Amino acid sequence: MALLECKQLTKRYGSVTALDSVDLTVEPGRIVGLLGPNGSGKSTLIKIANGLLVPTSGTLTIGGSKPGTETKRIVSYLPERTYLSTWMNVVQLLDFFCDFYPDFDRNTAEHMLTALDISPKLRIKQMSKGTREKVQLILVMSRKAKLFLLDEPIGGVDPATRDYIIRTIISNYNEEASVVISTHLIADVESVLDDVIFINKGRVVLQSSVDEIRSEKNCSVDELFREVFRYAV
Amino acid sequence: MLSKLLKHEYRATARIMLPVYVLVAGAALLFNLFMRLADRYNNVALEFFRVTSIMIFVVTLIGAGVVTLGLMVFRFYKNYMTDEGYLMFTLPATTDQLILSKLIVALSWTVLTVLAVVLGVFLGTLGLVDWSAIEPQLSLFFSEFAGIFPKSYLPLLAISLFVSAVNSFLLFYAAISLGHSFANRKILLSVAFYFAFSAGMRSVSSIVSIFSVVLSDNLFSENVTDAAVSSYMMGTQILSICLSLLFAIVFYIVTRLLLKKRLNLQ
Repeated sequence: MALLECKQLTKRYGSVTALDSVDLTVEPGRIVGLLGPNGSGKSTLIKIANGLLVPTSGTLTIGGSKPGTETKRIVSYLPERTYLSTWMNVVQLLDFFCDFYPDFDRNTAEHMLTALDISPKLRIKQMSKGTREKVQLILVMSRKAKLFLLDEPIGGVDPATRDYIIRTIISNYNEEASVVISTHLIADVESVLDDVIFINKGRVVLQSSVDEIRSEKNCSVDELFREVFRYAV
Repeated sequence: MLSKLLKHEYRATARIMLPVYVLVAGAALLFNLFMRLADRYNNVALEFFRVTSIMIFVVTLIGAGVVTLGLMVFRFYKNYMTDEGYLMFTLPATTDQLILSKLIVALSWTVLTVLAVVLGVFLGTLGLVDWSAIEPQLSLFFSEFAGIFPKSYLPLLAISLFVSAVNSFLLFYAAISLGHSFANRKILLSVAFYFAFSAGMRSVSSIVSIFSVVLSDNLFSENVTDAAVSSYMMGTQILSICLSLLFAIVFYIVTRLLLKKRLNLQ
């Protein structure tokens, strides 16, 4: 059974259509790139999957259920915003995640914090924007979730951290779990992707495996993206 | 899940509320000390400190109430309507649990602040006021009005205050949730909806109370009895509790619906 499935999923904000009859599936054990230019509907789709938005029509299911308490238990979500309370320190955040998510692996989180040289005593208030994003990513990736929904996980960090994050994503995911990465920085993630979904103006324009793109179209995902989304000069 | 939400909400609020209570106790002791010193020694400087300590004490007592209300409303806004909402609304908790956790914590700090203020006044005036001289006056007052205020009036008054506290917080939650369901000017709209909701609530209450006076015609007869006044007092109190409860339920449903269906995090 598909882990994530959208059927005719539509979301309108007044007269603006953010998602237009989207049909897509994400199978277990895949790393999927949700790729599209800014404002193409990537974040809207991910927000609906997390129950932060309600679709105008159509359905989105995770493991067969509509977004709700049950699906939130198995989904680990990294929003594009930093959601950490600034008065908390890292230890308090680890306590928080341990309390609310039984699948949270504290050891993994502590290990990653040490690797990125982040002191557990440090308050979020005292951290730079980049460090906050790292802490948030560590918290999200330290869960043994079934589905990881990562919205622009590498947007605001330096290339070295970007590499670490990508390696973290690959090493933390297991055979049953899927990872959906929304980004427009394709070259950076291309090497880890199994499948790609191209989305433009709220519509899915392509869903394919990376292998198919390479063998059938004889180009990289990055090249195909530039071709599909080329602006007329 | 509710207990976990409560635990973290108490943790987040205690770091402000506990120091507030320490300040109340400190201001009470300061007040008590300077009242005693100024009474004992006739000194201009001490008189100045006495006046200052009275001001500090009063400002602290009022401040404790303002901080309690302000912090509880701010927590709802900050935790649910700003970026922190991305974490809170993706926890495996229901909307009801999210609203109730904030409400229960807000109410418990409100009760504690009332207790802290009462204890603060007691501590501040300890040894300064001769309660034994006032006590007979109070008993006289209560015996005089025993016919009008039956014994059950005081518990009813306490219930009424509690229900209106519930109602007040839910009014804030509903106004904030509605204001933030719009794309722009979220805070301004929240304030506008707060005033609109309160005005609506006051209008309905006024209409109901006018009817209740009109209907109790025996209140205006020439030989009005204590019993008639008493039953009117009890009646209006029960009526105001019912109205408050009704509004609280409406505000709860509005908040729940908005957080579930119209959540609009930036």
